[in-house]
Amino acid sequence: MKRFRCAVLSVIKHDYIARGVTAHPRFEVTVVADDASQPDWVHERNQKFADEFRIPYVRDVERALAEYGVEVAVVSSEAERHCDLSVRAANAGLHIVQDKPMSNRLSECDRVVEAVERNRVKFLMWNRNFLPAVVHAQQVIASGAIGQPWAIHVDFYFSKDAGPPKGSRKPGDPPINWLQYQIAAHADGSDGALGREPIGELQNEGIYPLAYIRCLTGANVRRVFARTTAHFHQVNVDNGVDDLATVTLEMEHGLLGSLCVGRIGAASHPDIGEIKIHVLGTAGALVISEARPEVAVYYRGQPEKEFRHRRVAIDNDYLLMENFAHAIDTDSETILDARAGRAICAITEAALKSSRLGKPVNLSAR
Amino acid sequence: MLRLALVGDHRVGATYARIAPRLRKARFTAIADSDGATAQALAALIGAEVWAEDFDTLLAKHHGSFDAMLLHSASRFKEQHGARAAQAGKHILCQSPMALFRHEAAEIISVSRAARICLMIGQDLRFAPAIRVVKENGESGRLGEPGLLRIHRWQASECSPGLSDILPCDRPVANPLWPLLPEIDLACWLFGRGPEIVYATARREEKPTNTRGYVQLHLGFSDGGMALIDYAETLPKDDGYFSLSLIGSKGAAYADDHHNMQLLFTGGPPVALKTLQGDLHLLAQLQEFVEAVEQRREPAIGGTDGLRMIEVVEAAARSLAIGDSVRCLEEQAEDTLTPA
Repeated sequence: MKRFRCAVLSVIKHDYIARGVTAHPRFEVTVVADDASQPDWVHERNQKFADEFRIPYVRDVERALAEYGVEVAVVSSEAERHCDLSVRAANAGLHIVQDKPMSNRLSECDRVVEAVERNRVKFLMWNRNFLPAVVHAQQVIASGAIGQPWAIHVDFYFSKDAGPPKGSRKPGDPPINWLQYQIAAHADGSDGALGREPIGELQNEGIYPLAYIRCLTGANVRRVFARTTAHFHQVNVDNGVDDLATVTLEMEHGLLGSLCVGRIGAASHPDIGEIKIHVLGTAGALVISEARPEVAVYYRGQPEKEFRHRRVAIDNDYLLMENFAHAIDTDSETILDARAGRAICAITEAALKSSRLGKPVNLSAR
Repeated sequence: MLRLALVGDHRVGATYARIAPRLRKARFTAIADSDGATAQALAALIGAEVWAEDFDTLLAKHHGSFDAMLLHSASRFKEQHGARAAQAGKHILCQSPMALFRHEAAEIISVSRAARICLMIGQDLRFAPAIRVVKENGESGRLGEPGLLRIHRWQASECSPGLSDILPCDRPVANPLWPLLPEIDLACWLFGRGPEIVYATARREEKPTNTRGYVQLHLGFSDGGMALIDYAETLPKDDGYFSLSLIGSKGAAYADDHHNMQLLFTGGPPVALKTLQGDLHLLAQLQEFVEAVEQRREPAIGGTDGLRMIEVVEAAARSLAIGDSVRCLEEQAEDTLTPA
């Protein structure tokens, strides 16, 4: 079987994606690259990853793509640079695995769709659709056990903190700088949407539950009504972005649904968060906990932040890359391609607009 | 000892008969049911001295036999049981909805105030053991400011006494959001206020005579609070499903049937069984009414709570009709306590 040499184009946000790529034996990371104009902290993170994998770090994206014989780009930069790096990779003829969110601008997503399709390369938005419980949900629905799905609801509560709580800023104190906070928070994994431009949790995390809905129903969203707020974290308040959101979804074929997304704080759940899928169909219904299967582990002196329930049998990384390889081999689409990623970005953009207006917002049928 | 009259339908009688022996400071002394045999049998079972076949007969012939009325009958809307019981000086525990329209609810409240009787709205979900725990933790401040309430309630169509079953057919009500009254009340109660904005969506089954189906409600509260509620009457059969999550600024509570399932193995895939929570919620609700009457205080769920549920559900119905969000505060600013 053909093996794919991968260029990691910036690895400053989530190195789990670049690591996840290597979960599949057909993919190997061979070079890390980024633009020379990037600030020192970017180069430091890229260099650290390159050192760990004993591969070169090249401060010139185009040169790395041209000289290292790579066929796949793995993009995990700040959100606002995702699409630009992906477009440049597509124009160099590389297939692309990209971190979420696809972008903070729909126009940037359009550039990726155009570049990917013009260059006839494959694109995979990183997602969680191959978690065991999500695969199980797919199988149950595909079996016809609940009939034709007509309503779907996803809760995606992410129980992490993001700095000091809302209301903690003292009079006269300056607002928290978004980028500085995210850079500092990276050390303990509590960073959220790393980037110069603040984005809320709906844009940052919304891709996961919306990808579930897309995967389980195959339906496009036509209309949304949303509420968003900064309810938990001062950094979100200071930067005017949400950490809690609810969205009503009206979809093709009369499907209804909803979405709850929030970075609800570490105290609000003993594990990573309450993440659930509810589906109603013409012949029944399905309630799925995304965390299962899991094993409970408790012991004296257990660190406060250690999850009490450990997820097991997770093979998401391998299965995503298997799906990606299959798409390349057979010239088929990935489980979350550029158009799907663009559609999800359009939903979150419309939801934020709905929240501002207090009105439902239609999405185009594009 | 408070003397209670139950004006019910046959479905509630058996439940009250179960909890009656555990009731303190009150007992049932009168029963009215449209079916005389049922009324007589229930009176014997529950230890009531008198029975009648309708509200009018009970009030006319046995006025002195009871101090308070539990209004459950479907005819309570058409025959205005609430306002008439209040005029007769009887304390009232009226099953929600207390009226079909806002102005009718407002009239019951006005008459009750004038008569200085206790008016409580029956909304037993507030007294459910799991919900009490959620509320207690919210009130204690452990969860911080409520931010998001998520409720799913699904039922089998043959098991759910939807409003279409209990409403008189001559009333112009075809509001698929009525079954959401308990959840609307919970949302207002847990947030401590009514919503400022409502957006409703629904799915109807294809048969034009079938009003059962699915409704979904999105509420927005001041200070950014939000609630998402969905209600389905479409499960194939047997047990329903209830899930409530309250996400606060400092913590969260999850009351979810999914967490409370047992497994039964009889060959093939195991069956999930729900361990039920008994009748404690109904006993707690009735006891609260008795205590409120005795202590001459406002009950836990007063007439204004009942009115607010109706206001929200009316706003939701309009949202559904126009396909747009509806602002609630504008509506509530009207003087709803002036009878139309």
